[in-house]
This record gives sequence, C-alpha cells and structure tokens, in this order.
Amino acid sequence: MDNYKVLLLFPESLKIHNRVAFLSTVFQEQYDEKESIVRDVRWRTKYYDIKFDIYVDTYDAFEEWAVNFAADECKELRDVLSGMIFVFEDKNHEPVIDCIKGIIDETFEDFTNKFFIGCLFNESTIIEDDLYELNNDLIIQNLEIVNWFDKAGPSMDRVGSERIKEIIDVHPWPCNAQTIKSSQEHVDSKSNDLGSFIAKLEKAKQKYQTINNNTEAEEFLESMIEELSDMIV
Amino acid sequence: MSQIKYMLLTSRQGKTRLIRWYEPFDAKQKSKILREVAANVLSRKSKMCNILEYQDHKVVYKKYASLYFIAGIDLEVDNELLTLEIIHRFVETMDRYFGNVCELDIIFNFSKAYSILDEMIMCDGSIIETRKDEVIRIVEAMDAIESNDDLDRVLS
Repeated sequence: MDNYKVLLLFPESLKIHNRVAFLSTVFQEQYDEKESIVRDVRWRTKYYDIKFDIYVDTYDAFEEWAVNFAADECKELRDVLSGMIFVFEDKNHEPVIDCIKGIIDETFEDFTNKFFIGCLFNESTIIEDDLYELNNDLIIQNLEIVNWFDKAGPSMDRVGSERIKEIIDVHPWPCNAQTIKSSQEHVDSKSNDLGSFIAKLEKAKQKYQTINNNTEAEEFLESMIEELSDMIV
Repeated sequence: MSQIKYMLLTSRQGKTRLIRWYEPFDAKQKSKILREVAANVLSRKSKMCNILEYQDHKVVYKKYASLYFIAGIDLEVDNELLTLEIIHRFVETMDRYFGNVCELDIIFNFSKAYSILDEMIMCDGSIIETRKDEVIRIVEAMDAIESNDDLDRVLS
C-alpha cells in the first residue's frame, strides 16, 4: 500500500531554521531544506502505526499559490492528499484564512475525510476566545487554526505543535484491520500479554491442522508448547 | 435523584465520540439535539457558564482537554452541580482505566467507554454507581470474561 500524503505549506519568508524546527517538532523528522518531499515519515500512536510522505511547498503570495493549486493539473495531487498544513505568518490572518476556506470549499470534491490545519507562526497570537469562535466557524471545512506560539494554560488544552499532533492522531486514517487489531492490544499490559498469547495459540492451531506428517506434527507441537510456556513464565 | 436525558461526548472538531440516550427521542429530535447542542456548546467561550437552557431542559457540560462532556438534564428535578460531579466521576474513572485518557483511547476503545458509562448511569438516566473502584472492578471482570471466551474459542 502506498504511503499517505500530507502537504505542508510554508511562506517563502519563513526562515529555513524555522521550517526545520517546525518539521522536527511536529514529525520528529530531519528535514533537508533542498528536498521537497520527506518520505516515509512514521506516525506512531498508542493504537496505530502509519507512514506518510510530506510534500513541502512554499508560497510567495498565498492567493497566487491557491490559484495554481486549484488548477486541473493539481487534481491528482488534491485527490491523494490526506491532509494539508498551511503555515502563515501574517498578523492580519483573516485574508489568509478566507483563502484557505476558499481552497477547501472550491477545490476539493470531498474534503470530509481530510484534515486541514492553519498554523499561525507569529508570536502575536490570536487570543483564546477569538480562536474558539474562529474555529467554531471553520468546523464545517474540517479546518482548525492553531497558534504555534501558544503557551499551555490551566485548561489542559493542547496548544501549538501538540495540538497539531493531536489533530493528526485523531484523523481517521483508513488503517488496515491488522494495524487496528494489533493496536487494540495496547490497552494495558495484561491484555497485551494475553492477546499475543491467544494470537500465537490460534496461529499454532491453524498450522498444526495443515501438517499431515505425524512426526512433523509432534515436533511442531513440542516446539509450540515450549514457546507458549516461555510466554506464560 | 438525578435523571439524565442524554450524555454526549464531542470533540473540539465537532465530531461526536459517544452518545447515550436515556429518554425516548425520535430520530429527528436526536439529530436536532446533536447538531444544536454540540454547536451551542462548542461556540461558548472558555469563561462562560457551564450550564445553559436548551428547549425544555438544561444542558450541563464540561471540557476536558479536547473533549466536551455534555449532559442533558431535567429543568426541575436535576441538580446541575451534581451532574457536573457525575461527568467528573466518569472522566476520572476512564482516566484510571485507560491511564491518562485521551480522545484516541475513546476512539479505539469506545465499547469500554460505554461499559464504564453504563456501570455508572442506568438506562433510565439515574445514577447507579459512583464508586470508581467498583466500576473499574466490573469492567475488568468483563475484560477477563472476554479474554477467557477468546481462549476457549481457540482451544476448542
């Protein structure tokens, strides 16, 4: 299966070291600024483990970039994207956010299974109440604005890079059943041990039934008993 | 005696993670409540009151990290502060079961979250159990039975 694709958009004016910092903070990934694709980024949570490629792009004028992105040539790219992260520095954030809304509404046929994050990379952040109001209006577009430089408050809300990670975590990645099944064994260590023991036993039982030769079957049985008893001890 | 009408769990992104109805609402009413209550609660600023009136009842909510726990209660019978306490109990119990519960735990183990809730609130919306230890004990006993069933299935 191909990796998922995430588009990360930086303003041209954002310094290289800030771009590197952004990537390494959110994705724990080393970024070579000459590369426009960061491949095989591993996203690991308590419940699943996936890989995606990050397509890194930059813009000079956001409206201009949006026009190019809306063109027919970019349709394939739009279709394969699982999510987009827009980084912007503009203190006057409204025009950029309107433009992002426009991109989502007008260029994606179906955006419900994609995530969109707008990240304000400016130390003069949007104040909490305004941010809530703003994000409430953007729920329909699956878009959430995050202040990169927000400090965690007493509300236990995740902010900044942690919130970006959280949005990616809860995105409904179409994981295969294997990933989900194995991930469910993480609930606690006890059920994890028992889960893997049962899985092993089930596999052993299936294999045993396929062995026709009696001696071979006996040998297999003995080795399995040994392995399983090791697991119990 | 508390008689909760419904309990909802909604994320900051407006996605419903858990719903339990304790009163018979028809499908139209349910979708209206889901849509309007969630929108109302999500649009409220952080320092606003956690209790609001909606239609013929009250809505009590509390935000924990990225999740809003919302309960619909009777105007006359129920106590809002007690409802807030029940919500808090539910969160604490999940916290103990999952170990620092997060949205992802509820997404991937929603049946466990429902089990915990069902041990605390009966199908008519009244509270049946407030002891966290007892709720955890029952849910873990259910887990053990489930594991034994799996083991029996494999060994049979």
